[in-house]
Amino acid sequence: MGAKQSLPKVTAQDKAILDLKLQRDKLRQYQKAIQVVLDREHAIAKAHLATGQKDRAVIALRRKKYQESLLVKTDKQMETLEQLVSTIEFSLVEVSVLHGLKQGNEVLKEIHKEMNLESVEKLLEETHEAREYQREIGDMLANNLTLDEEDAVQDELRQLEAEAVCPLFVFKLRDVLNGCSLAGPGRDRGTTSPITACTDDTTYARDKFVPTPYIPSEFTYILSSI
Amino acid sequence: MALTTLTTHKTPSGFLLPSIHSAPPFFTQQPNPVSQSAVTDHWINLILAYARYRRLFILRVEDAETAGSEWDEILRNERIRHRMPPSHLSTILAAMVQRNVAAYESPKQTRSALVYWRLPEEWADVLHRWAADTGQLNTILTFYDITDPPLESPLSGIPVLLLKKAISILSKSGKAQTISIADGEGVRFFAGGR
Repeated sequence: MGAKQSLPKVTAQDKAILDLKLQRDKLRQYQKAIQVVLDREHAIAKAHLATGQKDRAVIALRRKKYQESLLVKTDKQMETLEQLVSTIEFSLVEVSVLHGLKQGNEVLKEIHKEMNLESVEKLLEETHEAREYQREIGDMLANNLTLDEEDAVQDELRQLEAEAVCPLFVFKLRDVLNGCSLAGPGRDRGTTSPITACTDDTTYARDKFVPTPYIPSEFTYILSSI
Repeated sequence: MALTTLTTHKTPSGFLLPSIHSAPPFFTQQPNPVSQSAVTDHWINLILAYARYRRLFILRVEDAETAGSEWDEILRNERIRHRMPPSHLSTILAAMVQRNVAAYESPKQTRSALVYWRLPEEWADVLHRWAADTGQLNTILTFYDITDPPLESPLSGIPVLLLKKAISILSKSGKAQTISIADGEGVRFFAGGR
């Protein structure tokens, strides 16, 4: 049922093409008929020659010649007709190609409507802004400290580390400092850092430390920050 | 009485006749219905095979009446001087029509029939395949285009009557459409949904 409905309608064009093709068929059949006549005249001419009737043979050959000229004429007509048919059929193909192009164009237009230049520009701009904003936040979070502040941070870090390693030592040092004034050799004495000095022998620091007014230069740094 | 040996025989056209073709009783109508039905079976097979071999489409009772028809090679056996009597051929034609391997050319007579060595459904299939293979779908074709194509095709020489049957089968499934104008008829084939 459905298949029948999908059949294309027979248009006037279709009928015209069919008409042309039927005419062409008629020409073909006519050519066939002429060919039969040609062969027959040829046979007649042969038969007349065999019986010695030369003039009759000539007449038959003349008729044959005439039929041949007809054949040539129909050939030409057929060519014209077939050209016409091909041209029409090719034009129909062109029409359908054009129709296809049109539909493709429509679809493209429809898509472009949803995606006009302004909205794309706006979208890109928004994306750019968002990225810019994100970068600013990042900058703010990471780079808002000056060099001096950074130095202070590092100092605090070192102190915390020292405290973590030898809290007792620092505590005792404080006691010492309470009882005596700072007096000792210059800061240039010794090369080890206060932290390593501490970690080198922590047991010593905790158990065997004897308070003494002498404070090695290594510790002055720590003391100053207490 | 001469003793005839039953052998196969190759005809001038290259068709191999079965050995039964050289048995005289094969040609005469049998009074016994059982043997007649065996003879009929053999004849139908022979006719269909020969028709397919020579691409013959129409079998007439007349072919048995006069010599010189294209069916002579099977309707006559000069080696045993036997031929098919027209009445016997008429019986066999009736049997073929009854079994749907032939159809009377026009329903009002029983003297000539289309021989279905391909059923109309099979012809429809061949026809559609030919149109598709030669790129002639969606093109308007005249019947002459199909029956006498410039290049030999499986459909060359098909009778218009059989062609119309095949087209009407295709039309039912939406694969063909006939177009008629005052001057004649044409057909258009479609890829068709299955």
